[in-house]
Amino acid sequence: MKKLFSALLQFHQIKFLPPLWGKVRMGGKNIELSPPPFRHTNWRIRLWRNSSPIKGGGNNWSKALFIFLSLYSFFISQNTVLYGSEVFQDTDTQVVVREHPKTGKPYVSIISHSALSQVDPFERLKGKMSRPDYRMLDPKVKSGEIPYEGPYSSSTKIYVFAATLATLGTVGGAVGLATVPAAATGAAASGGGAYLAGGAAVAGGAAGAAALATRSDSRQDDFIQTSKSESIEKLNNGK
Amino acid sequence: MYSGCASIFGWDIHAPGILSEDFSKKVKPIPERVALYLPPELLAYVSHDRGGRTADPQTYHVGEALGPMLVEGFQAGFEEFILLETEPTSAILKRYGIPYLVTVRIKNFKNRVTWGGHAITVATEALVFDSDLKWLGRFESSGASDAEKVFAKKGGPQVNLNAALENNVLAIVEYLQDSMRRGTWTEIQKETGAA
Repeated sequence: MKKLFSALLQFHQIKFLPPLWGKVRMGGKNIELSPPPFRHTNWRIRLWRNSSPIKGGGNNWSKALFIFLSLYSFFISQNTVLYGSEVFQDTDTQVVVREHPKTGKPYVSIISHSALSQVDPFERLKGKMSRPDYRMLDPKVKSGEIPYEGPYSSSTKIYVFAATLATLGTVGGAVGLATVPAAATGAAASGGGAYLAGGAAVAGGAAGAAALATRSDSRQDDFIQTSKSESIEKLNNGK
Repeated sequence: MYSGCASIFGWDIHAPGILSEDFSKKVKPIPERVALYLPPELLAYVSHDRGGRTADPQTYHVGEALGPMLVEGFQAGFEEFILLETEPTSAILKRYGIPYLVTVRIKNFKNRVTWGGHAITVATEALVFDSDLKWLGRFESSGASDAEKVFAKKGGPQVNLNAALENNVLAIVEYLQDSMRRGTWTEIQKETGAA
């Protein structure tokens, strides 16, 4: 494109680029280029003939001029910012619509074009749930009176006994298990905890199993406690 | 090693991360376009403050809950809310016609666990900028929740943490709304009380 443009210039023996607007003399003719109101609008060109006669080749000149001006305008437009009346700096960002991870309500988010930012920062938190009711914090309100569906946890106190305790094999040998409230099964357990009511599973465990027990004393605290047993052999393998 | 022990011995507290019904009753949206930028350190903020020498170890995932709650709070407080997931620049703000940019950071997290109850206080600092990234205002917000027999209830510490965070979000949004209505920004504290 640039080679063709320079060839046209040489053909008309133009030694310098014409101005963007104003009167220009090219090929023996006077040409007036009117300035456009905005950079991206069409150019207005007026031709007028001077008093001197135009000597031959007029048709070829007109065609060449038309081609020249078309190419020139095209060349200039490649570097023109085609926005309305303002020029905005390229920010390498894009707009996306995301959903709130808890409520699902959509919102607008501006992210960069890089791959890492395409991931929703709250992706792993997605999971709709009911809104909490702070009345449950009232000390007069007992646990469970006001429904709660959100995450919860309980203290897990784990005591690892030696293998000799596991050989006892009976529930009675595990101190404190008898006092563990069976009604708390499931309700007190956390997501990954296993609750053993009565500790029967301890006795049924493989040789080398360790009894893990916790003592519940309702006089001292209101903790909901869980019991969990896990084989010592399994624990040793995990080290 | 400590974090490993806390994971099997202690409380791992993840708040629900969603505002209660009371928030929408207190906050009505105003016709403003506001962008919020959450720094990565806010979303990753975790506290291991036990709140007392005799208390069980506790891990509070504060930023994990505060992030979504801030987004929800701003959605409720401003008609044109934008979450800026990339570092803000003046060019971005001007391109999208954003007159206000707010960024929040957690300044302090306090925990107090006694036989009598459980009190959580979350303090944040918010900075407000205009489209030229010129600083408009800076303010601190504090949200607290103090309740008894929290640990005895299923979800008690989680809801208590959520309440403290919600009070903090409420303080931020209300302060922003007041300042935008008045058109003035002053360094004042806005605090909402305990549940």
